[in-house]
Amino acid sequence: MADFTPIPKNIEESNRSVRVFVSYGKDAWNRLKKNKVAVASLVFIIFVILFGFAGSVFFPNYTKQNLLNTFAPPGSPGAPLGTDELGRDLLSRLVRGTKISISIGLTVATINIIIGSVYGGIAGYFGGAADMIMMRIVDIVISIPEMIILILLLTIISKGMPTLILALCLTGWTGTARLVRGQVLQLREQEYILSARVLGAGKFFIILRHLLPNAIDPIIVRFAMSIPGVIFAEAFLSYIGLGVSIPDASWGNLAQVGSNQFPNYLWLFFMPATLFSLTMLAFNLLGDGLRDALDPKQRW
Amino acid sequence: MSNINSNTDVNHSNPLLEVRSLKKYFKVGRRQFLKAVDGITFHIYQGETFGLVGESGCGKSTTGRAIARLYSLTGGEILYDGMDISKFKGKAATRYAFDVQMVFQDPYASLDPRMTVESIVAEGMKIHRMYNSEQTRAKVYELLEKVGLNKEHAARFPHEFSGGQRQRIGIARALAVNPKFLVCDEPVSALDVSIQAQIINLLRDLQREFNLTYLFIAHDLSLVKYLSDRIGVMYLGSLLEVAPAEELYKNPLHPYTRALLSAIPVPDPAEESERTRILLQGDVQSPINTPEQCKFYSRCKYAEARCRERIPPLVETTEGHWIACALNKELNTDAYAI
Repeated sequence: MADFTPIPKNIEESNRSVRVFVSYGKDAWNRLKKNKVAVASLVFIIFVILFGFAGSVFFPNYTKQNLLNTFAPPGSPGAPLGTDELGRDLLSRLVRGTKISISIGLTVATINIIIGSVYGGIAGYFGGAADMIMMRIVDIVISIPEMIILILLLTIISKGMPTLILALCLTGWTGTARLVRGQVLQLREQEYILSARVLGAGKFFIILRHLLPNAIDPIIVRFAMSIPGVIFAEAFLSYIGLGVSIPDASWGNLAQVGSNQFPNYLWLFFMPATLFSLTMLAFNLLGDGLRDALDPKQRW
Repeated sequence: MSNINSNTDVNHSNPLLEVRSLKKYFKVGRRQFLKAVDGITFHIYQGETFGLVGESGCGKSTTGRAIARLYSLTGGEILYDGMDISKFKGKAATRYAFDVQMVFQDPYASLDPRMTVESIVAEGMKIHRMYNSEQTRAKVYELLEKVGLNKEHAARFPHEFSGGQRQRIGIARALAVNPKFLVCDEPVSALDVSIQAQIINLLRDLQREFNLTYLFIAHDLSLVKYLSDRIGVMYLGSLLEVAPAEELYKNPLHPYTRALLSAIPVPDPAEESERTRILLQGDVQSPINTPEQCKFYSRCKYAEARCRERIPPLVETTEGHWIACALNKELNTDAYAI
C-alpha cells in the first residue's frame, strides 16, 4: 500500500476554490475581448470617432475654396486626399463629414433608446389599460411610412441638423419601446422580482436592481445596431439633398458630390463611400459581438 | 391532539396567522372571473408546519402569495398576530417583511441571473439597511454555511449551481431578515427525489434552530405528511378538509381527501396490487365563474341536492378535524365508509 500517500492535513486549504470574483460587466468585457472581429470593429469605430472629432482640430478648413486647384488628385501638395470641384480639401471635408454623421448617429440613437426604454418600460411595468393605449400609439407611429414623415418634416421645417435629428427621433424610438416593453413584461412576473417584493423592496429598487440590469443587454445591442441605421438614414437624406447641405459636409452629401463626378474623379466618391461602408459594417459586427458577450447563458 | 411530527414547541393557544374567508379572483374577461381562492379559512399556530395540498391550479400558491402580500385580496382578511395585513403600510409593512418570507418553487427563476449569490442573499439586508457592508458579508457567509453551502460560493452566479443548491440559496435569502414565518411554495417539486429529502431535512433543521413557522405548499402527499403538523386539503379554490397530519391520513373524511390519499402508491408491490383505489370520474372543472356550490360536486359519488345549496363551510367534526362537506358528520357513519 505504499503507493498511496496520505492527504495533507490542511485539506480545507487544498479544497478551497481559487476562483476570483468577476463582476458581471467585467465578465462580459472579457468575453467581448475574445471576439477578434468585435474588437477590431471597436478599434475601427474608435479610430473613426477620433478621426472626426480630433481631426477637425487639425483640418478645420472644410469650406475653404481654391478655384485654382480643383479636382487635384490624391497626394497633391496641401491636399493629401485631393480636392473637389471647388478646390476644397477632401480630407478636411471627410473629417467634417465624419464628425457630423457620427454625431447625428450617436445623438439620435441615444435619444431613441432613452425615449423607447422609458416608454416601453412604463407600458410593460404598469400593464393593463396604460399598456394597451401606449402600444396602440406605437402601432400607429410604426404604420406611417418613416420616409414620408422624414421628407415632409424636412421640407416643411427648415433643413439642417436640428430638424434632421428631430425627424429621425420622431419615428425611431418605437422599435426600442416594443423591445423593452416585451422584456419588462416578461421579467415582471419572474420569481426573483416577487421575492424582492416579499423582501419589501420598493418599485424604484426593483426597477433599478432587477429590471434594468436584466433588460439592459438587448437594449445595448439594439443601441449599437441602431446607430448604422440612423447614419444611413441621414446619409440617404443628405444624398437626396434634404439633410445636411453643402457647404457643410456629411457622408451622404460627400458621396452625392462624388457620384456627380463619377467616373472621372473616382476618389471623390470612393473615399467617403468606403469610410461610410466600413463604419456601418463595424457597428453591425460590434453589435453582434456585444450580443454574444452579454448573453449570460454563454458564461463559461 | 396527536402531533407526531412536532419538531418545535407548537403554541396551540396562539394562532400566528389567521386566514378568514380569503377570496382572490382574477379578472380574465368581461364579467369572467377566475376564482383562484374562493373563501378559505384556516389558522396556523406559532411554531407549527401547516401543509397545504391540492392539485395544480387549486389555489395553493395564490393563498401563499396572498399571505406574502403579493396580491391584493378580493375578499376576506389575513390576520398576522391579530393584525390585518392588508392595512400594513410603511413601518408595519417593513416589520411584516422581516417576519414573513417566502421560498419559491422554481429554483431557476427565483434567483436573479445578474446577481452574485452574495448580493442575492444580502438583498433583504440591503433593502432595509440592516448592517454595514462588513457585517452584511459576515452574515451572508454565516447563512450560506447554515444552508449547507460555503463562503466560496458567495462570489458565484446562480447558473453555476444545481437545482438543490439554488434552492438552498433561496432559503438563505429568505432567512437573511430573520423571519418567523416562511411560506414555502412547493420548494422541492422542481427537484430530484434524493435532493428533495436534503432540502426537506434542511427546512426541518432550520425550523428547530430558528423556531420557524411554516406554511408548506405541495402536491406530494407523502412529503407533506412527513413534514407537517396539520394539513389542509384544497380543491378548486376551496379548503375541503383540515386535520392533524396523522389523523388525516388515518381517518380521511372528505370524499376528495379519500380519493387523493388512495392515489399514494404503496411501496410493497403485493399490497399495492391488492388495494383498491378510488378513481374519480371526469376532470377538474374550470375555475372560471364557478357556481356557489360545493366545488367537488361534479365529481363526488355521494353528491346530493343539498350539496348545491351553498359552498359548505368548514365544520369541526372531531377535535381539530374540520371538513367542508354538506354531508358533514354522516361521513363518519358506516353508510359512507370507504
